Amino acid sequence: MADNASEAQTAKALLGSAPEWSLRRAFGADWTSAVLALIAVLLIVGFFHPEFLSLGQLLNVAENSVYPALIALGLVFLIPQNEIDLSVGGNYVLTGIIAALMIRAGFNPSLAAAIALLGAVAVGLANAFTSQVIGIPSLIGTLAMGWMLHGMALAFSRGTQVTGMPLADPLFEILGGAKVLGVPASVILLAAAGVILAVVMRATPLGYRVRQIGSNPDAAAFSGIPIRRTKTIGYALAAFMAGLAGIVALTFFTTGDPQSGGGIELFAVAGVVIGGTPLAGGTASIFGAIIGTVLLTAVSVGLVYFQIPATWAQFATGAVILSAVSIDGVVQRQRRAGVRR
Amino acid sequence: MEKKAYTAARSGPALARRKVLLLAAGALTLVCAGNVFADTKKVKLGFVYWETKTDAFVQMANGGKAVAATDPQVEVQIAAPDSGDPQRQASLFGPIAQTQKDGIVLQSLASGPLTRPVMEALRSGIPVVAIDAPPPEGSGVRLFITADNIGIGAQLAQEVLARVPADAKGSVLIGNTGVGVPPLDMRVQGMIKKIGELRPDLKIVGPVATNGVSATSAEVYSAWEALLRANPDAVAVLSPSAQDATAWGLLAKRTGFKLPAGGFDLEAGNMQAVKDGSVAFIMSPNHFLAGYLATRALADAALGKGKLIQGLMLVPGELVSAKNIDAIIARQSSEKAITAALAPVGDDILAHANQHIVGPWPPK
Repeated sequence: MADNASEAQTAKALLGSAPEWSLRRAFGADWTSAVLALIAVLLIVGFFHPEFLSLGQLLNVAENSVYPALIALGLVFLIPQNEIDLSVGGNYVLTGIIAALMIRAGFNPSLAAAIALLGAVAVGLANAFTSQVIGIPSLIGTLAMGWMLHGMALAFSRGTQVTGMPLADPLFEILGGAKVLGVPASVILLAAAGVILAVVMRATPLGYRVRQIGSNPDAAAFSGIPIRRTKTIGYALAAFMAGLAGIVALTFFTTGDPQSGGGIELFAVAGVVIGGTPLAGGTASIFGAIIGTVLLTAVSVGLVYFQIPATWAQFATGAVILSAVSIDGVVQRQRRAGVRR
Repeated sequence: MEKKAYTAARSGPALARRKVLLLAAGALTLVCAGNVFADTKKVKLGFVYWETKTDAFVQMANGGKAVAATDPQVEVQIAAPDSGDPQRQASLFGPIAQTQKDGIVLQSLASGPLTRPVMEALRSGIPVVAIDAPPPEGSGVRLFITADNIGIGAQLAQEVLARVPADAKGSVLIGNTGVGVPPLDMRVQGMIKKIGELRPDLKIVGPVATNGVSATSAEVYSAWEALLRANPDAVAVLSPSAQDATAWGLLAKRTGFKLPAGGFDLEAGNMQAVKDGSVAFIMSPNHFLAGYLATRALADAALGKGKLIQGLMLVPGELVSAKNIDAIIARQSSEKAITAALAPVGDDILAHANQHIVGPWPPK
């Protein structure tokens, strides 16, 4: 209770008098750049290729964005705390493989998914341990963890796809194949997760702590914010969302694939940053993370429409990510300079 | 005062954002301006392949592109991820299926994750043809064009064994940078069967994975160096995969490697190894031809020249040795040269398609 009271006082001092419940604060207006960029991409590609704006194509972009976007939503609870988790890609693959192997062995698919998700959270807790207890910088610790997870996925699956999923099971039918008014269930899941996590970020003590720890770690510690516990929750949530993305991917792609997921962590981190959650920490935007990943997916699809040669696509995608993150860096620097003046 | 400072602070970054967005929009507009004049009345085909880094897959895509290069009525859009990731391949298949409605060629070494996207495409009336490796099971794809991998693996083994002295005792080493990849595994099957038939006295070592962690040239070289050291009684080497012959060529230069050797694919290093005499044989599964046949078949069906053929079509292999290496190197020197040489071969195969269809697809 005393902790919460001192936190509240510090909050008022740090945040000023702007009400927490305003729409701008509720959704984090740092996402405006990402939204403008997404609209620009849609308009430009759509101008030269009107079929890009067809409902089918837009839903396809949204559907392809689901996996990195779910991962990005978890990272939004970690990156503002000046931490990062590069093992999310490995966690995404391994969770799918573990669930697939259990299902093939006869487990009920929903039970297998739940157990696999618990395993994903365990990975997150392990990352928190190495970072917060042992003291290994999260960049290195989670990178190594990611290698281990990818390796485990290869080993458990013996390097081959895990097939034979029961497509008639409700988990696969609903999550992998169902549509509501033409919108894939996975996109609806992403939207629901976004709303829930936005409320957590903006209207709960956890969300406030996440933003404060990165904004001013000393003040946060002084005001009694439990830094280690909050970071541990961040790691666990990032891992859970990566595991959830793996389960959703399993239901759509219908196989556990140890070869998939390469580079998805880069996509997710870039989506978070482009969406208004800087690597420097302190601010967070759930909506922005979704928009950021949708933007990156839209750009990837746009490259296909403009027939960028396949051998140049990797360069082009990397260049777009680098440009978008650089723009955000420039904007953040100018903002800080403006505040100092 | 506070309000002024606040406004000043907000206008700086906001103005920078607007400038940057305008610049980006302008740049993208310039880059894309050429596309506005594209002819929209062509047959629109798609070609989605496994990844952009392996020459074999690039050759298949080049075969697809060659159809567009030789027929002004055909447009072929190519897409592939930069690494073998079926989920990323599926994410490229989706947008291709939105625009290339006359047909899609799919080359995927692990096509399970593409089951739903392929079924969705077929449901919406877009024909899909698979090449190289089988299409997703149960997806409804009815034309699969591939090499007779068991047959060409056996043929290669036979040619190599003919160079092994009849009284030689020892082992035949089989290395593979893609254990578990269906076409490669089938070639190994053919090799093992033929060795068992012709030289049951020889021990077979392998298939041993020679790819290391990432299948870089250095790793494949090291793997073969170790394999040869561990098997000093080796009398021949074989491989179903593309990089091993290049490794043998380097081993010949550095360690004096001299065994009868048979590899696959027309990578530049492989062809040089044959030219140098370090490697006796290279078998080409004719990847370019497979890509050309699939794309041409779709184009012909879309242009109303007949129904799309169905079944399992086998592409003949091409054995490369010292006898024809110069002609092969000359042919492979450019896409134009390859197209000029192989497009007529493809057209002839399609004109007599029934002779090359060996059964239904999927098999009963």
